[in-house]
This record gives sequence, C-alpha cells and structure tokens, in this order.
Amino acid sequence: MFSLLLRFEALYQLKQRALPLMAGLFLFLGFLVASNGYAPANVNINAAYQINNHSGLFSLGSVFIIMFFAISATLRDDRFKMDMLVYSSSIEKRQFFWSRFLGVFLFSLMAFSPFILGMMAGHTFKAHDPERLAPFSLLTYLQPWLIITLPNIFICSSVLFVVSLLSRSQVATYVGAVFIYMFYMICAMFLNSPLMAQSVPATPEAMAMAALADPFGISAFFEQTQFWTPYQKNNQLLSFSGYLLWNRVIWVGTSVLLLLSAYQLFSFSKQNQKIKKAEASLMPGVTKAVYRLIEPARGFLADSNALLSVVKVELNSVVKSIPFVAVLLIWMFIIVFEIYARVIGGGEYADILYPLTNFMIENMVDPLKILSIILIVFYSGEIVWRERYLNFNLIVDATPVSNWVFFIAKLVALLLLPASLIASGVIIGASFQLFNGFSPIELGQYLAMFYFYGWQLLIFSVLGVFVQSIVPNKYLGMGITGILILGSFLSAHIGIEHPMLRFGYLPTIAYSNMTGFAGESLKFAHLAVYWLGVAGILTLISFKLWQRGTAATSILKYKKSGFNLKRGELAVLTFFGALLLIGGGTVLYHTHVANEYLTSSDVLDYRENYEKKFKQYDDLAPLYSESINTKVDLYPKKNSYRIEADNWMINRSDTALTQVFVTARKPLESIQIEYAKLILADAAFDAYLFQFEKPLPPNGKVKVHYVINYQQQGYEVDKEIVENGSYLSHRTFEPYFGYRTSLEIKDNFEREKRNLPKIETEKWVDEHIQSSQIKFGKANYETVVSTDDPEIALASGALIREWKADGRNYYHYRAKEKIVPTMGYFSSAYATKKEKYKGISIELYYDPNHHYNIDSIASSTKAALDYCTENFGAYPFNQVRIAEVPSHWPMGGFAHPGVISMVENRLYLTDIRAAHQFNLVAKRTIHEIAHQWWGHVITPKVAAGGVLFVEGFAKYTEAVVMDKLYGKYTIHQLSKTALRRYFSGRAWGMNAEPPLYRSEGEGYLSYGKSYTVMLGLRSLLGEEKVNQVLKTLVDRHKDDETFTLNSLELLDELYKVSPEKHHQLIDDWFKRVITYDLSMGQVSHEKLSNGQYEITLTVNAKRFELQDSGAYQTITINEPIEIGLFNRHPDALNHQHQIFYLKPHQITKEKQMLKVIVDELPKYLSIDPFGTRVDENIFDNTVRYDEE
Amino acid sequence: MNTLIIQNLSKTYPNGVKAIDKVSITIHNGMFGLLGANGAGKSSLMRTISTLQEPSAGTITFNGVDLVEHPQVIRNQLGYLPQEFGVYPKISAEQLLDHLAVLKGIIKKPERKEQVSALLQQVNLYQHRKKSVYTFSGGMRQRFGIAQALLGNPKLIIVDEPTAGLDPEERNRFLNLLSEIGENVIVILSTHIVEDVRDLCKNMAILSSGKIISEGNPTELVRSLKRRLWSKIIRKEELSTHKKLFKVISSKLVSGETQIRVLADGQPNGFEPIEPTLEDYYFSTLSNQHLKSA
Repeated sequence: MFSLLLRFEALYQLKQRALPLMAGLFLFLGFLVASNGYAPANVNINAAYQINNHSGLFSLGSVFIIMFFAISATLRDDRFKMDMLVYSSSIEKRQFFWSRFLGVFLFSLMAFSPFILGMMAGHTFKAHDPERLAPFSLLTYLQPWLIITLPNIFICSSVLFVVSLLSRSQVATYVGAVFIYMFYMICAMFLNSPLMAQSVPATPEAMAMAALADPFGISAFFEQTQFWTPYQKNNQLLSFSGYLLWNRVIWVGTSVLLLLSAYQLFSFSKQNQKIKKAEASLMPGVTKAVYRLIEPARGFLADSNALLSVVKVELNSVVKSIPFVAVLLIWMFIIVFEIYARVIGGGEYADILYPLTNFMIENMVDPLKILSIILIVFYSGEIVWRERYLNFNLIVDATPVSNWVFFIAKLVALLLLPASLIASGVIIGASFQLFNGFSPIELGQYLAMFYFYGWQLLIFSVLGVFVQSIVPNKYLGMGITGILILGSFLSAHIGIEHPMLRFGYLPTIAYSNMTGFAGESLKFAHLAVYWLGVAGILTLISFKLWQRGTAATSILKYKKSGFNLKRGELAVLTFFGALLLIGGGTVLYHTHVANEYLTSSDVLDYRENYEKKFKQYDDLAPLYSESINTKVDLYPKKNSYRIEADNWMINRSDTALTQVFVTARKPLESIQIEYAKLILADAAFDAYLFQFEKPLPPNGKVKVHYVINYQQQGYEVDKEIVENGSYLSHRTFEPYFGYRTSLEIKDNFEREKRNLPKIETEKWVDEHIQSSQIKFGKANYETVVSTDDPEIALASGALIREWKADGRNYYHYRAKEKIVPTMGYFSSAYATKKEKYKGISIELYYDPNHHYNIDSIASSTKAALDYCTENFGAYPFNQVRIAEVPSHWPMGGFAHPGVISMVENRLYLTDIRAAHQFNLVAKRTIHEIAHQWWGHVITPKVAAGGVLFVEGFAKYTEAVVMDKLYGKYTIHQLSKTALRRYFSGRAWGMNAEPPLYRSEGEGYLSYGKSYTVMLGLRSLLGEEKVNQVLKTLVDRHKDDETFTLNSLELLDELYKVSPEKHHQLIDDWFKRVITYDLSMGQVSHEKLSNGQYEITLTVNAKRFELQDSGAYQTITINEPIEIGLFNRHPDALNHQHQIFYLKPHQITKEKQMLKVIVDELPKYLSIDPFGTRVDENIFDNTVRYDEE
Repeated sequence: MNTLIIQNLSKTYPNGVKAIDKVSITIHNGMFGLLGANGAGKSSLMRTISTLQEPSAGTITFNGVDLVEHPQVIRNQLGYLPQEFGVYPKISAEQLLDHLAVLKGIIKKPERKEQVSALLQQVNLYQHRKKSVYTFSGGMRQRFGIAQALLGNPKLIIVDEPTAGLDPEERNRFLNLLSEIGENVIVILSTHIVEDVRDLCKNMAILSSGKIISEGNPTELVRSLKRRLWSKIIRKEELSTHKKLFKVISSKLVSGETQIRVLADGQPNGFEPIEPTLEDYYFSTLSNQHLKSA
C-alpha cells in the first residue's frame, strides 16, 4: 500500500512537469556556475571548497521547489476538493503522512541534485586553465551533497511540509519559507557571506551563534573556512566536526522532531473548520431601503473610480497577508540591526559614525534589494493570479471595467510593496537620527532612494507582471522571475557585460557629504530612461496578454491578440519606444562614441598588444625626475584640469642612453625632451619613443616638458576632479619614462591563450633585494596651482604666495629641500584651522560641516610629532597640512610630503565622544603623521620587503603613541584588527605568502603581520632598543637621494641590538612564515601565609611553519611570551594599576605549567594578552577567573 | 423590450471538446430557462453570453449590438452569477458589494450606498453585512452572488445553476426575487433542476451535448405529451424486458416499488394513463436524443 501511494505521488508529480523542469533548470545552473570557472586566487576551480560554497548558496534556491512540492502534496486535495474523498478512504494516517512527506523530500532532492551533476559536467567538459583544475575526484562532489544538499533539502522539506500540512494554507507555507530565509540572512550578517555586505567583524560568540542558527549550514561552512589558505581550500575536505557538525545535528534533529510532532497532531477528521456561531441578532430596526435601478456611469470617470477601488482591494489583501507582514518585520529588524551595528556598534575598530542620512541609507541598501525582490517575486504571482486562484475572476471580469484598470491597479499595488519598504526605512532612519539627538535629516537624500534604488525595483516589478502574464501557472512564473532577476545580477560573470543587456542594470550611486551624488549618476539617468522604455513596452505586451474571462492558453492569447493595437495603445508604444530609443541611444553614444567601450577581453587585448609592441623597449633604462616644476589649473566645476610640467630628468643607470621610451598614464597634449627627437608616437597606447641627439651619459640630466589637458567625458568617472572634493595625485597622471611592466597580463593561462611567453617565477635569492633596478629618488619641487573660487588649492611645499586672478585662486608652493615625488593636489571649499606648534605650522583643512573631530586631530598631531621628533629625529618640513577628501577614496589616508589626505567618513565623521571609545581619529592621525618619517624622512628601496619601513614602522608608531595616550586597551583593539587582517587576507591571497622581510606589498603583511612582529620586537627587546634601531636607520638614510634602505639592513641592525639567543626568533618572524596557536588553560590559586596568592596556570602554545607545498607543519617552541594577570579584560585596560603582573615567561612546551605570585587575586589571566604573535584566535588567550 | 439573438453559435476548446454546437435562439424579456444535464454545455453558453469567452463561430447580438465586437457595451448592462465563485478573504460583504458596485460604474457614493444596502436587505444578508463573504455558508454566498448580479441597472441577467445547494426556503426566496426582476429584463436561468424552470420560466430550451434539442413555452411543450404518457409498477428485474418492449423515458422508486413511465400513442396493456409534467417532457426529449445519436 505504502509503495503504491508513493508511486502515485511520483506519477502525479511527473504529470505536473515541475519536477523535470526544475531538475533541468538546476542542472543548467550547476553547469553554468562550473563552466564560468570563477574561483578565488590560487584556489582550484573544482576545489572542494568551491563546490561546497556553490552547493550551499544555491541550495537557498531549493526552498522554492520545496515550497511548490509541499503545497502540491498537502493542499492539492483541498484545492481540487478531493479532501473528503481522500480522508474518508481506507488510507491510514501513517501511510498518508509519510508517503506525502517522502514525496516532497525525494522530489525536491531529485530536482536539486542535478545541480551537482551540472557542476561536474561544467568542470569536466569546459576548457579551464589546467593549472587551476585538480584531478577529478568523486568525493569532492559527494561530500557537499551529503553534508550540505541532503540535509538542507531534508530540513526545508520537513519545515515546509509540516507548516503546509497543519495550516492547510499556502500563505502560511510562504511565510514558513520566508522565515527560513530570514534565519539564513541574520546568520549571514554575522559572517562574511557573499550575499550580504558585512560591515561588523564578529565576535567568536556571535559567529558561533550564527554558525549554529543558520538552517542551511552556510554560515557554519564560512565559520570553519574563514581563515583557510588557498592550499587548504584546494586540499582539504570540509571537516564534519565542530559547529558544522552541530549545526547539521541540531537542524536535522529539529526537523525529525517537527515531523514526529506534526504526525501526532495531524488527523484526517480534525480540519480547521471553524464552526461559526449562528448569529441570532436580526436587523434592529433598520430603515428598509428599496432596491432601485441605477444607471451606471461609463468612461474615464468610472474607470478611475474603479482603479482606486481595485488598488484598495489589492492592498487590503496584501497588507493583511502574512508574508508581507513577515517581510516588513524582517526588514525593520534587519535595518535597525544593521544601522545599530554599523553606526553604533562600530566598524573595523569598533568605531562609531555620526548618524548622517547617507550612512542610514547605506545600511539599508542591501536588505532593501533582497527583500524587495522577494516581495516582487512572490507578489507578482499572487497579485496577477489572485482572482483566478480565488475563483472570483468570472465576476469581476463580467463587470464593465476596462482591462487597463485591472492591469494598472495590479501593477500599482505591486509597486507599492517595495515603495512601502523604502518609506518605512526612511521613517526608521529618521527616527534613529532623532533619537541620537543629531538632527540633520536630509529629506532630499531620503526621497532620492525612490529614484536610486526604487527605479530598479520598478523595472523588476514590471518584469514580474510580464512573466506572470505569459506563463500558465503562478509558481512557474515566480521561479522564472526569480531566475531572471538573479541572472541579471550574475550576468557579468557569464560574459554579459554591456549595461544595456543586463536586465534592469543600473549603477550604484555613492553619496559623499562633501561632493554629493557622484560617479555614474549621468549613466544612471540615461539607463533609467532606457529601462523605463523597456518596461513600458513589456507592460504593453503584458497588458495585451491580460487574461479576461476563462482562459485559452497563453500562446493562443498571443496569437489571437495579434497585436492589433488600438490608438491609445499605439501612443503608449510610441512613447515608450521613444524612451527606449532615446535612452538607449544616449547610453550607446556615451559608452561607445564619447568614450571607448572596453569589455574585459578588450582590456586584455590592449595589454597584450602593449606588451607585444613595446616589450622591446624594456631594456631602455627609465629616466627619473630630479626636479619637478608644474603649473596645475584645476576646474572642479567642469571636471577638467590642465597640467604643464617642466622637469629635469636624470639617467640613474650605468650606461649612456640613446633612446627613451615614454608611456603616458593620462593622454598627453604634448611632450618634448630637450636634445631628443620624437621618432615614434603611438596614439592608441599613448606611447612615445625619443632619440637623443647625443647619448645621455650616466647621471646626465635632461629637460622635459609635457602638457596634459584633461576633460572628463561620457560616462568616464574621474573621482580625482570633482566639485568640492578634488584630489589629484602625481602617480595617476605623470607619464612614466620607460616600459610599464605592470601593464603585462600576469595570468599564465591567459598568456598561453594569447601566445605570450610564460612568466617564470624566479627562485628567490636575497641579492634580489639589493639588485633591484628601480632607482626612484627624491626631487626638487615647485608648483603654481589654481582652482575655481571659492575653493582652496593645496600642494606640498611652503606657500610662497597666493593671489586671485580672473575669479580664480592661485597658490605658489615650493619645497625647501628635495622631497619624495609623491605629490598631490587638493581643491575644496575648505574651512581652515592653523596653529604654530614648536616651530611647525599645523594646518587643518576640512569641510565646514565636518568640524566634530578637529580638536582631536590637532592634539593627536602634536602627540605624534612629539613622540617621533623625540625618538626618530626632526620633522622634515615647516608645516603639516591635513586635508579632507571625499568618501569615494577607499584608503584610510595618504601621506604626501608635508600634506596628508584624510577621508571624510573615516576620520571627520567618526563619533569619538563616548568615554571609552577607541579613538580612531587619533589612530589614523598618528599613523599618517608617522609616515612623514616612514616614507618621507627615510624611503626604502623599491624592492621586496620595503613596505616594512613604510607601513610596518607607521603601524608600530601608531601603536606605541596610542598606548601612551590611552592605555593598553587600544593595543588590544589594534592587535585584534591586525590579526584579523592577516588571517583573512592570507586566506584570499593572490600568491603564496612570502616571509615578511621580502613581502611584495601584500596588505595582510603590511597592515597585519608587520604590526604584530613589530609589537613582538617591542616585547622581546623593549621599546627603547627598537626605537634605537629605527633612529639609526633614519640617521643613516635621511639624506639619501636615491633609495637604498632595505630589509636585510633592518635585520642586521636588529641583530646588533639583541642578544644572540634571540636572533633565531627574529629570523623566525622575518624570514620564515610561522603562525602560533596560544591559549590559556587551567587556572588555580592558593593563598600563601604572607597574604599573597600563588597562581598556577597551564598555557598551551603551538607553532606551525608554512611548507613549500602550502601545508603547515607543527614545529617546536622556545621563546619568551608575556603572561599577564589583570583585574580587567585586556580589551578594557586603561590604567597601570589594573595590571597585577605582566612579564615574559620562556615557553618551551605545547602545554606548560607556570606559577606566579601576586598580591591580589586577578580576574583575568592571559598568555600574550596584547597580540604580539600571529595567532588566529586571540580571544582564547585570555580567561576570566572567578574566585570560587 | 430587450432582445438577445444567438445565431449558429459554436465553441470548441483547444483540447478539441465541442462545448457549444451551432446554437441559435432568440430571447426576449422575461425569464428564460436553460435546462440541461451536467456537462451539456450550459456553463459554456452562459460564459460566452457573458463575454467571458469568445465563441469559435456564430454571433450574439443584444439589442442589435454585437457582443463579440463590443463586450464593454454588454458588460455595462450585464448581471452575471457564475455557477461557482470564491471571494477575497478579509473583506466584508458590504465592502465587497460596494467594490463591485464601483466596478459596475456606480460612482456616486450615496447612490451606491443606497443600492448596496437595499440589495443586502433584499437577499436577506443585511445583518451579516460586516462579515466576510469568505466565511458564508453556501446559501448565503449564493444570495450574495445574486445581489452583485443585480447591481446597477442590468438588462441581461445570467444566472448559472443558482439554486444548487440552497435549502427549499432559500430557493423560494431566491426565485421570487428573480421573477420580480425578470419582468422587464432578460433573465437567463441555467439549471438542471426542472422545477426551477417549470415554476418561473415563460420560455425554455433544452441543451444536450452542446445542441439545443427543444425550445418553447414549458406549458405548451408539456401539452405535446398529453395522452401519450403511461405508467406501470413493475418488479425491479422486469425493468430490462420493459425497456426492450417500450419506450421507457424514466423509472423511479415510488414507495419502494419501481414505477416506469413510457411514451406510446395508444395505452399499452397493464399501463395507466398519467398527466405529463415538465420533467417527463425533459426526459422524453433526452431519450429521443439518445436514440437519435445511438
């Protein structure tokens, strides 16, 4: 009997065509994903990590299928009025329940599993880079299926089946589905899930919660693999343990329990028929109304009345429906959480932002998109099909209302859903600002959300209605709409790049408080018109296909409607057609005519041809600037500038030069080299070749003159030259006087396809550091820079003179000595604050509205100047200028000689008012001031390891000054961030991790490990000795004209100041790649007779060394590591008396017992409390100790 | 006087089923009964007249206006009660009726309010007006259905199987209401219940397999059977022999015994004459039809 029932289920579902359709779809998706061949750097395309990742993310899509099967399995009897028959038949409850459930589960599994087969096919049959394809292994596909797919389908099937069976309501089943998603989304917010922008680094507790609570196990997967190196991603299968195991156990267990209890609750007879009480009350004296015939009105007035009434009825249905309410609640929950988490809870450094309107909006954008799309996908089906599913269509269709009324009303009702999300978001954001007592609620910005984010949702809504009007079934329609929308987001990955081909594509427009809506707002506007045209035409088609009365099938409708358009319809078609053509034409013009349209493969072609044509000039030694004299005219309002440069350039090679090759970065209007003849000019590559009249000898100088006349055009976005926020750097416009190796294609697979020789990685020898041929050096500098009034223009050097002419402001700057030629030009309508401090002029330039942190910036500047002057020697300039630049700059700040750029939202809008707030303003200011020594007073040779002197030393200075100013807790915060930076950066590294002394500028080494190692040195040798090394290097190199300082020299100096026994450890940190795993174990105490306490603690300490293969191997440990006993957690230490004990202990074993005698019983015990070792988990270094 | 003229109307569905087969009728004011078994094509015909589907061939004109060409003109004068219908949940009877009144074009609020409450009283739902139609019993829902069909100023009212599922009292009230209205407009009542037609309709047609097989005034149609109908009480097992010998149009149990009715020009042996009813006429027509098609 049971098998018969199951067979009937199978037969029934096969008849529904949904199963083969869905299975085919997922097969195709899997193939697409795999053949697209995307994988993070150095990770194999078919690595187990990738397959797990994709299986997990795409299993989110299975909820759709499962919902469909669950509704079909449990509600079809009701819907087709078979319930009484089925329930009164001889089927037993047991058979009915389990056969139907198994049906749902097995068919969903059968529909989704082809995804994995599709991936298998995509990996096998598509031509991929053989170096990035591991040998086929069935296990890498089987494991994700077993750990991810199978349980996910089981869990979702159970939940949705139970909800559907017990509630007997489609709506409740949708809600079930939405809630499953909600669980996932909340978990995803804690972890760096690719579907969610993550802003807040999670605490381990939050991560554990997320990993357990996510019904799809995706968060547990990310939790387990967040720090996996590419080697691990390639070679390791998921470990079915830890949170992942518990996640699966908890959710599968819960599902089984759910099924069992549902089985108990379910009964054939007990339907949720509510028995209505008979209403006794008859009319209590109502005036009898007489039925009179009323002649109905016709025409536009009647239609518009009807329109309002239908919209009202639609909204009434939607607003009272549970999925909408559920989504609305989720939305509010998420944005309150997100805003709170980012604006109040803090970012990378637990920092707080002033609740400005644009920050409120930024935190809403992602959830708004996702939730609106969920609403659109669901409700386009619900709304379009409502009357037909309720069987009310015959009555309304027989009324004399025009088709357009129904159609427009339904479209409007659908559009109001995302609109209501935006509106409620605005209310929440504004209330947030009000409660914070910070009131610049910029209504205009809020309203602009309807345009910048609502427009796309409008286009998607129209798509939803269009799809629903051509499909024969609303679930199919929902599926297709969902896939089309998802596809439009992912299309760039499958090679569809052109903005007009990606349905509904509109660029994201950033907002900066300094410059306003910037970037691609013009492109947005044109595309918006274009998509409106497309949407209008889709609307017309949907309207023509609008089903009135009982249906023929849609194809018949199509044939029949035959598009014989009425006059009004023709007008609509013409109007939207015109929009499409005008918008599209404008987009095409701007993309292809005003600018050059480059696909990613065009860019590769360009680079290939550059290499093929000009590689021959790679042997020509480059010329370096020795003296730079510029005349810079900035026109921020017109997005243009003109630069005229007169430089002296020097030949720093050992041989005489006969030719010089020039590659421009921005197109040159003209270029002349004295005593040299232009013999080749290639406009396509902006490349030039000059022939000297007589060879330029070593150290010979030559005068160069060039002019750049730049005007932003088309959709080109040059964030360097914008109104009230211009920031133009020499490195972006200065032509390079040589062949640019950096333009070459790096990927060897791509090179092979293009017949370019393979780039061989040379075996490392330390001589490389010394033999590097890049001979960058300091130069004299003078400039006259002008800008539109009332903006102020800044550059490096002392201000010689300023004047006004022709409504423009002119400034003449000159550097008194040679400087590192990394100058920048600034222009904005700045407010200024200047003061003289110990002979140095501190000048702060900032947006007049961003005055909150100016005092803190000034005092931090002084503290940093004091510390550095005292320890590393004199400040090299007479002034320090700190200037604000708009938030579209991604860095924390940049130190030009004597001038520092700081980004508005990362410095000026950070809220540091709270008492124990980590002072991010101080941290960033100190860091950039320190760069005036580390990068300007001394500059390393451009070679591997050089970045240590720049970022490593600056991070070190930042840490010691913060420690002095605010106490130890700041170190804990800085270390936490640095360690996170190191471990997550390493996990996505482009190349194998080099040892620190020959780092190639990897961010995770510059800002991560180099900081940790410098702190390690401070703990090992003491601050005084470390500073002594730094001072020695400053004294030796501060007058270098060409840079020679390198990391081998640093190591030498370190050896000199340290005892022999530590040399090995210093080498371990600099010359090997070693990670630690430190943690505090058992703790006990004993009160001694003298009133002191003897604390016994067990510490765990392991070290691992990176092997050539990429694997890590455990190695021995023998080094002093700090042990600390405190009465406060290290992340809150701000006073010396909170530290009971802090001394290094020699750690020699993996598990070691230590005894410490202290006067007071500590509350917290730590090994390496302040993060001086690269340890993935710094949180378990500290334990809380309670007396009992 | 309103006139509905149907000429050579056919409807074939995409799956090949021929639901209406060359139907031609002319209908004037008053109640018109459309009698037919389930599946005879009644609902198809009603839906086609109500402009909810287009015919495959043939024409329908109402007061000279072609219905296929100008559906909106007809919809403006149409009241339609489908055989089965659902409603929006969470909307009260009064709100829903008000909404439908707007859709019908009654845009003046006081007028609309008056008509809505009059109709609710007329169909005896006034005390339930605040409740959702979704929760109504079958009979109440049916009465709501007729109320909405009467909104505005309908000149052509089409009610499809309206009495199915009504209790006798409800049915009476319902039919009285229809006949009151039916004096000045066309009311087409489709049903498989013969009494509905007998009690109310001046004219009727019988539909079978999509064809009109009989048409006329019920009384006159019944008269054609006068002195040709005979009945006899037999044992159950004799039924098949009788069926071979006589033209049996119906057999039913009367007090536990099988009574058959046969059609014959002279009185057969052992049979008694009986007075024909509309039901007899209906059955005889159907059995004629079966003979023809067999």
